[in-house]
Amino acid sequence: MDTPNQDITSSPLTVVALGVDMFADALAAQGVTVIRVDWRPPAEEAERAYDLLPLLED
Amino acid sequence: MTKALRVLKDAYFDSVVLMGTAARIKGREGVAEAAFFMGTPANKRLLASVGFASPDVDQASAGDTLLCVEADDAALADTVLDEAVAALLGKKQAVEASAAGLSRSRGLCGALREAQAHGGANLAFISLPGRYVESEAMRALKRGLNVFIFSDNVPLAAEVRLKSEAVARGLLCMGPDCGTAWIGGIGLGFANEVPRGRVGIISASGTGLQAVACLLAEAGEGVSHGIGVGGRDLSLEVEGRMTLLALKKLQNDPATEAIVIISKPPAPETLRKLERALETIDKAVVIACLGAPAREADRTPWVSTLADAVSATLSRLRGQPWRRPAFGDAASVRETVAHLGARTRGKSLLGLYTGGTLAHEAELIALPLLGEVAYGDEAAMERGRHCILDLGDDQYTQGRPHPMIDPLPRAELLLRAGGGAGVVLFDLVLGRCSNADPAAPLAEAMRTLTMRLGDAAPVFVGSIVGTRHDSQDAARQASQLRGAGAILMPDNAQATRLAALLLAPEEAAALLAA
Repeated sequence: MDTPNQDITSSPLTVVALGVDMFADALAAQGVTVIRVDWRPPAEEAERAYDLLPLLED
Repeated sequence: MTKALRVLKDAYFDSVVLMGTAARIKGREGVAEAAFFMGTPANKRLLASVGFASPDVDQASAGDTLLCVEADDAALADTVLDEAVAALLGKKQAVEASAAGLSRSRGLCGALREAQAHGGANLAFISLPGRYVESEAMRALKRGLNVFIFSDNVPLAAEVRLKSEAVARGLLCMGPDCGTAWIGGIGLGFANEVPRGRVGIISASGTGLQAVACLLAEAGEGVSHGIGVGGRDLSLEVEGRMTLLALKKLQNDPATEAIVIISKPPAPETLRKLERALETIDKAVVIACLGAPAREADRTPWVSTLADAVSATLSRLRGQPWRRPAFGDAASVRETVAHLGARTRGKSLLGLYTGGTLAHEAELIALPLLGEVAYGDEAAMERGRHCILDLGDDQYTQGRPHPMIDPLPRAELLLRAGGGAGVVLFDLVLGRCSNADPAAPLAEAMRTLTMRLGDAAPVFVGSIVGTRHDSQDAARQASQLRGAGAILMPDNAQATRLAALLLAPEEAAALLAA
């Protein structure tokens, strides 16, 4: 998937936020576009697959 | 006392929300303990070990939230649990109603699809429990996103894998355990309101980065980019991967005219890599390496304090000689010592810090002046020895908010243990995501001690990391602390030297001659 503007030292930030809301709030307050992920931990039986998947992805 | 448990099924809340809500509930009269956790296996074992074992806990999953309280009676326990649930659900509803909204996906990939409507995302900000970071960060990197990882408890091997992937793709992997950054004028994490400018900073320390950025702002300069790399980046294993990439980016950044690197002493092989990389940089570079001997090479000075890093950088930017007296206003310091020295001489130092790097810097400065300083050792404090505590350390923050978010525990510790000290040394760190008024409880504790002990009360000496443009307003915070009798110095190094002079004026006399 193409992500233009990868060099964030020369491009505006567009942020995907996973985790603590106050950090996403702080970014949004500075005018940054923030897409918040409604993140949940994986089910215990799926944890091993969760760890392996990114290693299999291109 | 009664223990009570409530399980919120399929309800995840971030750690700051959970700890903040628990702290408020615990402050209620009649409540002895409140602990709110995700239902992970490790947390369930912990709860079982402290008397909360039950079938409900056993059956909880990692996606559930466990609310545990211990209160005077069952009715109170139920009441406060109801309040906690209402507070947590209210917070979630507020987030869902916010303008930024919530991605419909529970995963990164769905969020990235949504980001296409905004031209695509280029940074993932990750503040998840450490156990889950590598998977999400690696997914983000493979999709071309830079990452900022606030989380700690990420295995070192995972950090190596993430940074290797990032470097291969030319992406920044800031962290793990990265508290602060500035990218293009945007503050990430605990960041102050500082102007954009011509100084780039690469830092293994969040509060170190904040301190340097604020001192630069005070001197009329600004930050092009402040790149946090996490505390282990210059270790043997990580080999400075992010420091070296950040150096290249700042070398190529037209807005950056000078570079400051803040770190702990690098592993020897990593140091050699850093020195080779510095040969390719034609901009002024200053290295603040706390714990390494100062080297005043013309080309790249290595300095031993954050304030020296700023003054060396300013001298290079402005073409001025580099002067670094021990105190900016020696006359005022002499007067303070003359006025208060009889009260403090020969007594002990108690350092109560919220920023680990500032605590470490204070230790490094105080040790040669006082002869011994126990770092992180409360028992030493109780025995009346010189002692510096980093209250942001893991031992103080398990299940509790960081002291930059919740200043009450430090104030309570000051009241409990500060009376025996001659000097209490402190920092006050402002900025986004920090407490709205951190000076208030500290000033109140100072006033209480002074009223209680009179001339036997400690002298309070500290410094503020912040600017007048921070929401807390550094000037207003300073006014509160001075109103409570605190002496505020322009930076942590001067505050520490003043503390040493007050306690051991003969040993520290050379400072005033410098």
